Amino acid sequence: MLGSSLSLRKAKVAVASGKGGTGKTLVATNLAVAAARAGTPTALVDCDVEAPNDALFFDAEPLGSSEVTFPLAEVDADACTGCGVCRDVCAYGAIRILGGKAVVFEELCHGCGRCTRACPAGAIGEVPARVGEVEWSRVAGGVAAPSVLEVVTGRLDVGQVKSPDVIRVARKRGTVFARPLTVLDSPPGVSCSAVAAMRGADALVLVTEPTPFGLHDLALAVRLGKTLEVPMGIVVNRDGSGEADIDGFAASEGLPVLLRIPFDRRVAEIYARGGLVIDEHPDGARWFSTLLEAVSVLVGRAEG
Amino acid sequence: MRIAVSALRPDLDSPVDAKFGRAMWFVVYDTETGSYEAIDNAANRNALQGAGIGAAETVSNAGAAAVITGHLGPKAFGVLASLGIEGYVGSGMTVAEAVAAYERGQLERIDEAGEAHAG
Repeated sequence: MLGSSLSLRKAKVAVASGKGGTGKTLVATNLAVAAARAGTPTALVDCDVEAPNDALFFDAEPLGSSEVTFPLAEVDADACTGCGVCRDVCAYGAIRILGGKAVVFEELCHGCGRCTRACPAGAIGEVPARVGEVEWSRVAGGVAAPSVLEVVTGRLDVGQVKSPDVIRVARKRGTVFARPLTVLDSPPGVSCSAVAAMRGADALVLVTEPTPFGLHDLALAVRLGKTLEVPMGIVVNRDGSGEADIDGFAASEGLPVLLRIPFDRRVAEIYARGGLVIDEHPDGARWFSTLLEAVSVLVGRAEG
Repeated sequence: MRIAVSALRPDLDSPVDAKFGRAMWFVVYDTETGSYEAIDNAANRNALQGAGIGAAETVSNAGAAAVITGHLGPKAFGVLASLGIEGYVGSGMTVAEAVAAYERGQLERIDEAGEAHAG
């Protein structure tokens, strides 16, 4: 039972894919509702901070919001001697000596603080610079009854690139609720932002579709999951829509297929109007209770 | 005055490199003495990001008052403008031809930034 295995400690389950548009948000939102309804207080953290959608599926009571900033290096030009030590220690090429003074390029600065510590003249300080925001709310209307479901949304500001900073703050906010289960809705891809969303998870649910693109990007996500040493399982969405051999790949990698969601127009229609498949599709409740059980097994494996 | 020319090779007969931030070399020509030095731009060429501003720093520290290249992205253009270094278009010429054309006032000045990440 999920209740028994997940209540042992706070489990984090990341829903990821590699490819965009495979159904991560569909799976993450419905899985979170299924868990809450099964009696497990759950937090859903939307880590797809460039295009966060999870909150759109819920009528929720806002609880709070906060800005996400990073410590931007700031040079005191009067104190700067132009020696170039800061430029040489910066791993991101964010500092240049121009006109005899250090100049920081905000879009390249990662806020790591090395220049501040290295400056022999003590001329570099740090100022908070905004990159995005985090909001959190509690799902209302009995949707999560008998338990509770909080939704945390990370939102990267338009034109900003530091999505991992926003994801880290969103995940940290998620831990404040201290729920037995946290579902991390990850961004597509396998670079910094996906790593920030998946790192430290106890289980990884990889959502794919049986197309050449789904299979190709699933293989990338599996490589990332292995690198992060997280137990993985696969959800085949739009099953029947293509010929790609997801099962053969899963077997060769030794990965379980946790759930198949058929290629069914009704699923797309429910999702497209912001509905929950778990409620509105005749098979929805069964699909996501199946997935919940399978995920609890994966998490149990992580616990050894 | 000193003019920095982005170049494919470290000599005056080299074609002008149309890229600025990720140029192969900068040939810095001194119009008073007729001498030149070549600066390897490998550090910026291979940088993950910030190549344009790095190259702008390089030519600034080389004492250049003007740059001849093919194209300046927004960041490189902004940094050069803030330092009072003008950019000119010299693609299709050799370094020597471009410098001569500059001295005759025949090069087109770059008055606005081009596309980002184009070189």
